[in-house]
Amino acid sequence: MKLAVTLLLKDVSWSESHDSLLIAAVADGSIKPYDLALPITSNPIRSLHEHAREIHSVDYNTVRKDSFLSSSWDDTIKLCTIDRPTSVRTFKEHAYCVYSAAWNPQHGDVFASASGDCTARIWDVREPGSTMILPAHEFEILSCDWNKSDDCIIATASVDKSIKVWDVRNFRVPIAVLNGHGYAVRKVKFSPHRGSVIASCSYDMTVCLWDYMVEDSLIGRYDHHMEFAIGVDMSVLVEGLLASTGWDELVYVWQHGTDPRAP
Amino acid sequence: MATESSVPPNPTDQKPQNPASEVVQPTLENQQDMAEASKESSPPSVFVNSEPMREDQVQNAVKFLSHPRVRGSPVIYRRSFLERKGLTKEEIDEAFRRVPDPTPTISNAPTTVTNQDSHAKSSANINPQAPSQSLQPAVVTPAGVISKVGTFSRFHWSHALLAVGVLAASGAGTAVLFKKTIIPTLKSWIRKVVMEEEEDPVAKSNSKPSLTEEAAAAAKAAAAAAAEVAQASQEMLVSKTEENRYFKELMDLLGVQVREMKSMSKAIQKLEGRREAIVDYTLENLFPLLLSAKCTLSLYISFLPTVDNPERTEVQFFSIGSCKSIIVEVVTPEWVDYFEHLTERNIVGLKGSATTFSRQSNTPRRISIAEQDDHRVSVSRQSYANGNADFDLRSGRSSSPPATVESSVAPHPKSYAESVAMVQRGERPPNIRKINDLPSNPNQPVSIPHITPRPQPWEFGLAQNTSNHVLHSQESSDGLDSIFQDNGLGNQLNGDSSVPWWQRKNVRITEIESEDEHKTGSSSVLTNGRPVQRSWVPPQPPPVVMPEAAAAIRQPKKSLIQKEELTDDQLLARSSDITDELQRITKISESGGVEETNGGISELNRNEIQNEDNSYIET
Repeated sequence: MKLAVTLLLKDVSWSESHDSLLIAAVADGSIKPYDLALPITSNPIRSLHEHAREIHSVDYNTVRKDSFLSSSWDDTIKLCTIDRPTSVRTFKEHAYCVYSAAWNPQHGDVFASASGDCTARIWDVREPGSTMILPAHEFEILSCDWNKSDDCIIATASVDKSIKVWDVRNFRVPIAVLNGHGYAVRKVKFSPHRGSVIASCSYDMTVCLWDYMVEDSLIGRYDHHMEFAIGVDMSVLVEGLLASTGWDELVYVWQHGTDPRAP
Repeated sequence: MATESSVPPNPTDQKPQNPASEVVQPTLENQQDMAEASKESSPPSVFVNSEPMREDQVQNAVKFLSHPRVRGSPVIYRRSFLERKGLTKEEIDEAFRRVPDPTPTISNAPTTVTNQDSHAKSSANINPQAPSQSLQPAVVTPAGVISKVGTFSRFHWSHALLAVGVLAASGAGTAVLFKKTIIPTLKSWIRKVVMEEEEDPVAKSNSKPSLTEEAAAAAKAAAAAAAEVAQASQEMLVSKTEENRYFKELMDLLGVQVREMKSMSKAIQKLEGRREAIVDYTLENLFPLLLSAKCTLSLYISFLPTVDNPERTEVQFFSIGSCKSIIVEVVTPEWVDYFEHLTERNIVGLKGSATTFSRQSNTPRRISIAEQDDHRVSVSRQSYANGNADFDLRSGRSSSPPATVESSVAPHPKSYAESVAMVQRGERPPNIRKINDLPSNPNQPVSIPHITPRPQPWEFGLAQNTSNHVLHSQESSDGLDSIFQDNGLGNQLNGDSSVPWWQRKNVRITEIESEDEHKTGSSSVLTNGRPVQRSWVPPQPPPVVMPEAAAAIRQPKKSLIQKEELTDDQLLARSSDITDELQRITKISESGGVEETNGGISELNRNEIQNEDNSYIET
């Protein structure tokens, strides 16, 4: 089913509670949830236009399953639910664009955000502000993600071409620094199956797979894209299944260890 | 910014209640613990910075914030900077508290300020400010600068400011002096010179001009002459090269013409046999014209073989002055061929930019050949009949022939630059559709989900842990078998579509189960009363702590390759069956398969694990 939007869609997140609901982040600052079970004319089912600038990412709460975060270039993060026409909360502390926000997979009230002001923050929705500030990089942080099995480990990906893995209990020093990308790392994703495996995609057109517990962390590198690789994800259902997309307008789905371009 | 500044006050408001900032967190945590008992395990939330405030960091922050330049910057940048330096929120807030708001007076506070606490500090600052203010009454601007300083405590800072002030004053003074004294002298000097100049022409004619002037004049004349000579030679060179080029062009043209002439004659023979002579004649007409076209200013060829030729063919090459354009209007395919050939070879040959022509029969097209001022020729052709042949026309062109045939397809914008310009003006480039993406019914209820949500791989183990502690000890493979039977699933891992996958999930579950025994302190959130307490067979679990399982998984690569011969049909069958299986499994687990899946599939051997890996590839 094709859904048409006037503007660029920056990110999409599937709902955890609905099998047909997905949240789309639009470049004009609105959040549009789409329900694929409904006919196309009644989509999108809502439009929440609260952000002043582009929404760079949306993330659905995997624990509570009813709320999602939208991180925007207007320096704020908004917590919304489907059933409310307005946002529930706004988190405004970053000094620059918020590039991504990620819920903690175990704690439904904790999330982390990555921002262009070179810090990553950890928030608790029960608190008025952020609870931790990680000055993670010297440059903008483009993405962050939690370790799915260890709820205290977070990875941040930055314009300085590195990915750093932090333990929030000891956040002054990273656990691991993963270098190897030639350009800014656009997105990181922890594997749902193997706790130390991270997938990342970068503007150097490659998708890399890392294991920070291993001596030489890079365990896989795929350069199948002809343009910037901007999205990567690991399948929750199938271990080792990777999907990536890029500016070359292609989406690849492949199993780790195989050639993405193989039919 | 308003909200930003409201955020620091929030924590600071709490602070007066708790003198030590570390107490704030535990207080909150206590509240949390009371609110949600199961939320946290014994230590307070790990996502909170529980470090005590570092005094040295706070000191550094205070110094930073006291800097005059920093004071002029927005609050949010200061906070952002401190955050980047690794200060915690409490430290930043403390620093902000210690640095009072900008005072209008200067401060020459001695170093003792740094040793005092916040209250004493502010009072100490105020004291030295009064006496030091009298130090510089005279200079206005430096005082203005210093007033921004606020609570400087270093002695040498005021020294530096003093120096700056003195320098500024001296600068101002010199400027004034300069204006007052030097300018008049300059003016008088200029006047004198002018007077002299007026006298000079008179003097020259009568009296002997000075040698220097003569020499200067001579030099000037020589220079001018040299320049002229250089220019002339340059022009000659340019024209020579031009001539050469044109000669070459002409030679090429001639050569091609000869060839084309022959083909033309053949073509025309086909059309009308007896017209050959005329065609040849007209083609011959070309030659003298081309020969004479040595210079770009007068290249004009009119070419009208219309004698009894139903297809009117008109070829006009004209170049007039600087807007040279050669327009070829072609009607018939044969002529098209000819001119394509011609243009590709001849005209285009001059520059070398070939364009591909899509051939359309009986479609009047315009082949426009634009010649730029620098005598370069480029060919661009617009053909809208099929809507896709679209070439960028040079911006320097003066003539842009409109398309004689517009197709129904929306014409693509000419170039990216033009699209951008259109968007900036507010228009929509033609190839963008306007889509209405607003919700048609803002209150549209969300559809009822078909599939109940399932726990994530990493969650599942935790859910099992907390909700099935009692059952954890049960170990039975019977349960698993019964599940198999109920679903009618066989035990084949290879052939059957969804069984192996499903089976594997069970394997994973048990692995997680045993793994969770080792795990400490991971709290489960699924006990929040979510309806999703599905201890149903989940997908894939997180990292395996069991060593043998881990080893088995790490074997992967070689076994992966072996198993790649499964067909696509099987894959499709699997994927389609999965949802069905999931639902069935859901029901079963709900009915009580939980305990069964809990237990000991740990006995399942490595083979299964390996096979699982294999089939995942195929999925």
